[in-house]
Amino acid sequence: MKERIVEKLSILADAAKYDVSCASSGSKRKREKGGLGNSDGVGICHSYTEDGRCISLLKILFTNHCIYDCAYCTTRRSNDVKRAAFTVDEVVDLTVNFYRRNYIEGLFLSSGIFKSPDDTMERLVLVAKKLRTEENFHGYIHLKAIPGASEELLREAGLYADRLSVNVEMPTAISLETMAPDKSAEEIAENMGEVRDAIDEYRDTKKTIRSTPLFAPGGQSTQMIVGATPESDYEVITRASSLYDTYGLRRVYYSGYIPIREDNALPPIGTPPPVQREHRLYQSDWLMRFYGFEATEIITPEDPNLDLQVDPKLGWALRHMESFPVDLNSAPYEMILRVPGIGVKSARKIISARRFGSIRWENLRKFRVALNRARYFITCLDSRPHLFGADPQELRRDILAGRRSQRFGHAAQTDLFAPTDEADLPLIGQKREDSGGRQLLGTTGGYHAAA
Amino acid sequence: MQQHNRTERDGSEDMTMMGGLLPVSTLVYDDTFGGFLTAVFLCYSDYPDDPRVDITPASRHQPGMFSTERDVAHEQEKAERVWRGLRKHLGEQGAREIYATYLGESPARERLMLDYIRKVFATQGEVAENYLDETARMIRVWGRRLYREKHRHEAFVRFHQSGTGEFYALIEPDFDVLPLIIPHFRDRYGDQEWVIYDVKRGYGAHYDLEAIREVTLDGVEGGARHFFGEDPAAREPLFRELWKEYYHATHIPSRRNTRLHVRHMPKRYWKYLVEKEAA
Repeated sequence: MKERIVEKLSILADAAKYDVSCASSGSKRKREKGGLGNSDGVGICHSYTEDGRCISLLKILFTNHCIYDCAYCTTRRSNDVKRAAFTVDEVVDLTVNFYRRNYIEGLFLSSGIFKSPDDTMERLVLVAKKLRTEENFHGYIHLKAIPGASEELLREAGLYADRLSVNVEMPTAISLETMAPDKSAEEIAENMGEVRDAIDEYRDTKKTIRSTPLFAPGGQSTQMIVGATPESDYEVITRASSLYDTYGLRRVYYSGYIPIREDNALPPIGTPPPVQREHRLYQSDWLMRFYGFEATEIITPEDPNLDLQVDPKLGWALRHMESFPVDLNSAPYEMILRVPGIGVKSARKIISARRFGSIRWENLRKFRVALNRARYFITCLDSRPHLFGADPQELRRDILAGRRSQRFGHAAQTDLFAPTDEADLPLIGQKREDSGGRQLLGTTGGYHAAA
Repeated sequence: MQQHNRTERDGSEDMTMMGGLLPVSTLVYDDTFGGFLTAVFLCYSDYPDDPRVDITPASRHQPGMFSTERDVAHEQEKAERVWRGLRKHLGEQGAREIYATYLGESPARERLMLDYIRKVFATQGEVAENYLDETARMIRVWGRRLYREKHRHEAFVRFHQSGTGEFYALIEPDFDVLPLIIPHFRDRYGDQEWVIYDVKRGYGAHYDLEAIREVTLDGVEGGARHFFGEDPAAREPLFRELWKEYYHATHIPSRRNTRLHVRHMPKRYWKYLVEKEAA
């Protein structure tokens, strides 16, 4: 009995790990009297995997039995893997007991599709319902909406879950059709629309009727796999941008494809996951959500793939040298935010500080500006005009090499130790992805990184 | 272990004198934050316009030859007046940065806090927004350090359940963050009895379903045994094993990134993490 549950957990956690969402933030749920747990809006990463991703939720499949045969998925019907299934009570028991020990923020439950989408969805809803109504559990619950499940079930799911997500899986409908013949892009779009409508409806009602129950207060998210199919970053980013606009998503997650078995349509086994590409996509995503960038500013059909070497904000600056230098003592916030090496926090500090005096070069280090990049794009009181006007290609090379060309003199030396935006990521372990505009750009940990 | 002394430090590193000026008066407070605020009150009431007055905690105090000393005990009314004033000018959040500085336990904290408080009152709180002011910056640095340590402990506390049903956790935080994390655990685990114990500082917090009390190791029924996981609840070993199993199942070997892993979860925290125990 004991061995069996350990084995099940091992199989069903392993199968769930490719879904990259780890968010446990952005939801507010108070503990009721006599109840267990809360969500105070700030997510907590309780642990980290050896690949540096955050572990915040008990992320498992209800079962990895599946009637579908999606090429990218380890759980696909034709794959020869050990199968297992939890019972509703087992999932409830695990969640509550992990939660009480402060291992997790809550549950992220997905599933292979057994029998039918509705049968599967029903089971997921039942777990969430039991947790809320029988265990009086107020921790975080993320339910995967099974594509093709009925609207009725999705509406019930939202009453118990903090977040619902339907995965678009592929950047384009054509790829989805090829890779996941059992799924339909229209059906997925319909599900996402239903979730959006229900969230809006409850939110509107709540404005007039305070007793309106919560409905997926942590919103809706989705995931697409990159690197399995030939789409360019241009296609990925414009798709993400339209998903944000159409469905009011909290997050789009990008999951670098990891080959699971030989398939002619897919990269061969042993192809390393496109970690760097994934990272650049997340940075672009951040620029759209928190830095006021339009998708078209980040990428164009003429040059449809992100520069893996430099971050997309620096890339934009190098293409728009005419917008620089920015005078930190007079420029508006939006423009300061466009300077490579200056994040949201640093920009706010600059705006606040200049009411008291003029910004000088030496202040910038203490504001945690990444001067190794910013230096070429700014002026302040004791400006260094010799830094500007270089050829963008030359600049790009210098920044990448981490060295200064001769004309910068010895002062540049110390910048090797200057804090970077990465160092400025303020609260390690805290996930702030949904908190609205406080993030900084740039880390190396993919989707979580930014968090 | 009985007497917890949150500011135990080598007094010799106390270099709080201002450049060249020997303090004429030293206020020796009782090591509590309230005591410190009381001393601040006295700076204004009894030593106005005298920048040479110094505040130092009793635990670190070394009698000097050229100063007069005065013991200061926490007086609620005086401390509260200072605190109210700080909150008025800085807001709750801003005032808490001063408290965080205190919990940071730096030997230079009294000088820093006093300098800052003087600036706050002199500028009606404006100094807090002056990112060019070095004192304000240091206070923010301490605020951030403590917030980070607090947040880490909200994440890394691991309870184990004893045979009698209560949940126990040991911590060894870099700074004295226990007072800061209590509200979080009270809000979240209000339906279970728990103890979180700071091994380094020798005191803990015990929640008994009604209130939070400060405890020492022997102050808890069952004593030290529970803390170290003896007499566990029947299913405690099972859940620990399951958690370890889960933890290892989440790794994606082809993405291994040890540098990032350790940056998020520095090794000094591993000691009490179930998932980092040998399998």
